[in-house]
Amino acid sequence: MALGLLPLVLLTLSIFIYLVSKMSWKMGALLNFLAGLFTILYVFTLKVGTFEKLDLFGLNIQFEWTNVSFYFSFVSLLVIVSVMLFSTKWLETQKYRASYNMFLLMVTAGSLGVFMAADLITLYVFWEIAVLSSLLIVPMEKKEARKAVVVYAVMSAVGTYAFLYGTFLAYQRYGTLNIHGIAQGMLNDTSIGFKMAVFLLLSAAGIAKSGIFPLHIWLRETHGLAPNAFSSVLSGQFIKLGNYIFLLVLSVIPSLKVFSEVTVYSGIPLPNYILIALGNVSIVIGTLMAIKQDDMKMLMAYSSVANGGYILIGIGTMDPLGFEGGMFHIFNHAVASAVIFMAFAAVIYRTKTQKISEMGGLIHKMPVTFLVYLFSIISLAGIPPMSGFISKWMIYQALVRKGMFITAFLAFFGSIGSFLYVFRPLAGVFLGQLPRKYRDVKEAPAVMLTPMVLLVLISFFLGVWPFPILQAIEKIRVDLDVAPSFKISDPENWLVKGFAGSWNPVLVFGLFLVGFIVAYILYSLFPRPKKVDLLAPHREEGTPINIYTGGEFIYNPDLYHYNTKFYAGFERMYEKHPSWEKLLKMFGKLFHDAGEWIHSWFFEPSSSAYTFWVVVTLLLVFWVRW
Amino acid sequence: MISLLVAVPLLAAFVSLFWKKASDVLFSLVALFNVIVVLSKWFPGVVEIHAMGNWKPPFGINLVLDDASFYAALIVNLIFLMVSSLPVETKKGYETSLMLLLGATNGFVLTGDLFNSFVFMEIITITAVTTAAKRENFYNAYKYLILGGIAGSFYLLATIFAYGATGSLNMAHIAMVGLSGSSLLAVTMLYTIGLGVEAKLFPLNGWVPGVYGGNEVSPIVLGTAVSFAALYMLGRLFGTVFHGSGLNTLYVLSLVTILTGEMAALRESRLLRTFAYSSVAQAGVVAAMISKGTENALNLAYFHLTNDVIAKFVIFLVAGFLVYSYRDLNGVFRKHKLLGISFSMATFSLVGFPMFAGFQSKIRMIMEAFSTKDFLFPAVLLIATAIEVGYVIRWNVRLWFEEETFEERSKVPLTIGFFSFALAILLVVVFLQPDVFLEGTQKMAKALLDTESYVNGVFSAVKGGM
Amino acid sequence: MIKALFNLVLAFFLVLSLEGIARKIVARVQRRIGPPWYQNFIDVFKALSKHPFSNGWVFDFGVLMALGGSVATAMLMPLGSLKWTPFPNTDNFFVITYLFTVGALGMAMGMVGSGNPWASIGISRALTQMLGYELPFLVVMASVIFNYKTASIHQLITFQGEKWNLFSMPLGAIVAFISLIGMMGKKPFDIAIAPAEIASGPMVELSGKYLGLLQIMHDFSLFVEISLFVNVFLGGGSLGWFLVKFVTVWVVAVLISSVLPRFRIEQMLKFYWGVPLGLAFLNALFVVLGLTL
Repeated sequence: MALGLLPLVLLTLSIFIYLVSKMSWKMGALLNFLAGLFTILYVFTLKVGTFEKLDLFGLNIQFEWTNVSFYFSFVSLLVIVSVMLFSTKWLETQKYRASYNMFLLMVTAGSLGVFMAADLITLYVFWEIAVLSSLLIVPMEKKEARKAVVVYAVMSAVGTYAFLYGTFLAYQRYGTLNIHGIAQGMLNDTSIGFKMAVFLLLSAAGIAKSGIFPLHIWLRETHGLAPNAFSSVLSGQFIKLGNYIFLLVLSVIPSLKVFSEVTVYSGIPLPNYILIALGNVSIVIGTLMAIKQDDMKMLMAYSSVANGGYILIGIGTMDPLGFEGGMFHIFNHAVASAVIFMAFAAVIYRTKTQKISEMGGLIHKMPVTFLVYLFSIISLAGIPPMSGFISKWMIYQALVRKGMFITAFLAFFGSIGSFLYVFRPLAGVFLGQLPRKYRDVKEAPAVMLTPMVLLVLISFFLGVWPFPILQAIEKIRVDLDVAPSFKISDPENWLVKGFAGSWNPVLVFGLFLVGFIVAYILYSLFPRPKKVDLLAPHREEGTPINIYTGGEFIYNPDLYHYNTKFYAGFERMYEKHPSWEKLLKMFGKLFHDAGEWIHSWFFEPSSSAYTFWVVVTLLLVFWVRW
Repeated sequence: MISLLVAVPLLAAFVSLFWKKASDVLFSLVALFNVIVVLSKWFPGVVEIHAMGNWKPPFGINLVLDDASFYAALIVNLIFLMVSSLPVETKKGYETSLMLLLGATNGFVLTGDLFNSFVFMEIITITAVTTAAKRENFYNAYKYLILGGIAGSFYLLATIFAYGATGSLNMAHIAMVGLSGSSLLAVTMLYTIGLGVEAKLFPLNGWVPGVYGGNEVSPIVLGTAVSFAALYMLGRLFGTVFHGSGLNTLYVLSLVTILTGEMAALRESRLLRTFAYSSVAQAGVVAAMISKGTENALNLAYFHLTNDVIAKFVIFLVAGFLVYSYRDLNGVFRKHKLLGISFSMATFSLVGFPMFAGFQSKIRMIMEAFSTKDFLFPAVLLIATAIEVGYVIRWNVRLWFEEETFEERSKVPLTIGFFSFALAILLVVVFLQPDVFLEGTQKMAKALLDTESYVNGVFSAVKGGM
Repeated sequence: MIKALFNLVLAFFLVLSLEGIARKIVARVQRRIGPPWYQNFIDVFKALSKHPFSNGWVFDFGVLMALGGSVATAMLMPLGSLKWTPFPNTDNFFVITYLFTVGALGMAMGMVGSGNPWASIGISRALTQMLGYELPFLVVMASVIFNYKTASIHQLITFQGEKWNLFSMPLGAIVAFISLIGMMGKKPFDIAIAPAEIASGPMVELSGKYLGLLQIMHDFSLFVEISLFVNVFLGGGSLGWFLVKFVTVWVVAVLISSVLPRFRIEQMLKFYWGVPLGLAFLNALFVVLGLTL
């Protein structure tokens, strides 16, 4: 009934919120939060399988609410609502508060519309609404963001317009824009080349939006320079739009059946394999580039590239474990990424700087932020008992089962590499020595801590008891007909089953708890420690810090914080790497220079030159037509 | 009645020569009068003519009002009405030329005689050049004059060849008799060149950035109303008169126009000139659709042109005001929020983002192209749009978010603010309900292609005799 | 559960004794007598009995997490056969590997939290080292799992009934052994500890009971690593045979490391990503083609 109404209502509400925010931005932010909360509750009440046709804007708009819609909407709204709550306090650092509130809600509306769309034009319309709104938020804060947003806009446009071209190519051939209709058409179509072309064009939008190689360069600057809380939305939720496209292209249009004649390796069709290869490269690039970043947010931007690769690989294998792993990873990455960016926003809120090399020892001042960050990176690196491990486990199982050793190798590389690069901000920002200028930094405000803590708790809970979400994903998988007979989650026996063995997440958590208790018992059995005050030089000038230095006295601990070029040995190995960014920027320059040439030859010169061109055209035209 | 549309502005122009003080009021009155006359003849559905001097066609000159020329005349006159309501400083001293331009454009749109259209085209050229020379934009106006003169010569040559081949200058008569073979080839090619200069086809459009970027009044008038007239004539000539031959050249030229226009816009650092290039590219898009020759294609072509004209009006209005009020445009929209919002909305319509009118026209054009198995045009259009996104976003970001150097806030004249915002809202309305324009352009396209009823209408509805 | 605790007790006594024996072996190689075999027990208890310094709550928390993680992992490890497997339905290889990393993360966090820059340098090297040795090892394990279609350790043991993996996948076994030496942190891969360079790296601020606790953690880790190798490549076996194989692997590793100097970080990474990785892929290729011996 009111399916299609939801995004439209949110759109109109956003304009209203703009006006409210002009008077009081706090009211506006609060209203935003309440709207988000309402939406998330409303989303739970929507019935799966509702189909709605609206005749809006002179176009045939079709909405359909599927399991997939619910899942993606839930993940997106979880992130967005948390950020909205976070923003109620954080917005005071921003200049354009009213517009921020408005555009944030428009992003929400656009995303919901994308997830509900039953045909590709509707999807395109809401996609562009979401993109446009995000384009206007990104340059709001920092100066360098203004150049970055143009790169973002153009890359997004490239992906989106390729998608549009593919859509109409399919429309022209199959006569319908409805996703199921196109799937049906592709199943009956015999021309492989055509199907591949449509497939690749449609997935271009996903590639551009998820930041998969080769269209990944915009992530670094855009995520790094966007307003801090919005980076959470960009990385945690916006990228999911791209993942949704992949899901459509790979599963809703059943790629296994459509391309069953062109399997490459272990039953994986060629187009899937191409995407998996791109995902592989993304993992490598994302991991390697992240390891050497100095800016916290750019580091996590590259992490999003790598994780996007994971998700793509998971879904692309079309293996039940891989599929569920990929889908679950969407949730995990969204939550972990959102929390990490919010933690960064909190730190930047207090310290007013973004570079790791300028920070350190903040755990003494911001312990809760530290804990929240710690648990998120545990999840992101795929370590039990957080939920990130489960999704990674499933993806590994799928890869090993299919015998895709190179991909498995790169997935392992990405996983261990992720351990390296998430540890770096931990060590550089929170641990180590506290610089003198941050002596009086306080913990982040409670309103900003609450959403982070809640998200971490959810991730933790799902790490120990993943069955609710696994069942939801399983339902999706069975609906989409991906090896429907293979059951993965087994809540009665508390087992997560893979093809090569199973395990009990509750038991693992239990063991960890037991281990911790044993350790604690041993710890307390033995003599009490004497506390070393690491902040001594700050409290009293002239007291050295009490750590082992082999005979030196450290009066100025700032100088001894090891956080620049943390992995110097490793970084040296790939210092002189070829830069994809430069290549794509060269492309941009190519267009620019072409324009320059056109301008100087045709648009600038004297009137005699104009006459010359007229005559040339005349002669040419006559010569050709004669 | 329809001849009043031409006669009254001409008369008023002459009067204003002697009564300079009243020229402003005169302009507004004349524009208003014209609009009322046009509106009274809402979509006639049949072909109405006015034979000048009661000479029966094909022996005399006649003005033709059918659905197509009605639509064109409506747009042209509405735009001139809006221009006439603009503040005095915008058009001070140029009202005479503008009134002449109004009369000539109306004539160009309404005429049914080839030589007559040449005459009006020359008048348009001259008055456009005069308008272009405001703010000492002499060199660019001069270049335009030269090029316009050459274009006029080719146009005349084509007319002469047509006369030589068919023995008549009347469009309906030529359509009836029909040209053939090499004469058809020669005539269509020469018309392509002749009109191409005014219709901004590549490589005949070198004059555009200089003229549009030179002052604040020429793009508002030339880039909107005159462009519309020129592209209307393209449709009329190639659709009605020549029965759709010679369209391939037009197609190729327009595709090149689109790409070169967008690429040149990308590198441009001055605001007015950037969107002048954008006008070039959009004219290319319209011309490409016209060159497809089907009714649906023509319908969408003029729909797109209408959207573009409205968006450009807003853009050039706002840009013209800002460029000449401030030295440094960084972050200027923070001082003028309403203008900024209208401008942004118009540029987004240009790109084709949903929620604005441009989306409707672009999507439909792509759909149409695909359904006729034309895979090249959508690709070119989408590439061009991607480039557009680049510079539109770049300008929007610069005008909204860049750090501003401190300058006193100029007061925005009421009409500028009102028109820009109203038209921007219109763009959203068109998005929500595209039939507002589509119905009209549908009729226009039908009329353009319906040579038979055109011919019959002209020859039958005749008053007076020989 | 009892079996799990038995694991812990066994690990504690076995590895500490073996470390003592290792010191004896190294001493003999270096033509000295060396300390008695029970020396390490004395060291640990002495350390545990002293008053330590603590560098903050993160330091304590990190030590607890490290020890807790390795205890948890040790409790999962099968001792050579199904009979001695504490939790047969959760001894999945990946679970063990990643639970292991909890301990590593805990230690890393705690050590860097001590505020000593030597520790940070050591940890950065340790993490980089992990990147080196894990990759060939995981590729080999992936091929093993692919071959037997199971990742459960005790099932892998059962599948080696007739023939050990050492003989059916020799390349893989060699690579795994080289990775094992890296995992254990023995020369030539002890850059992370590097006593003479960075003052023991991560362990620089450890004193008193922390030193003892981390020593225990290190022991449990060694236990897990070597048991993994024995189970997967040497066929496990009954408890007695398991212990024999365990000791053999340990002695071979000690002998090798006692005569080698130390690799630098880049050298180690280049090494691991050269021959061992290549051999691992070759092994995978063989497995895929079904060419196991």
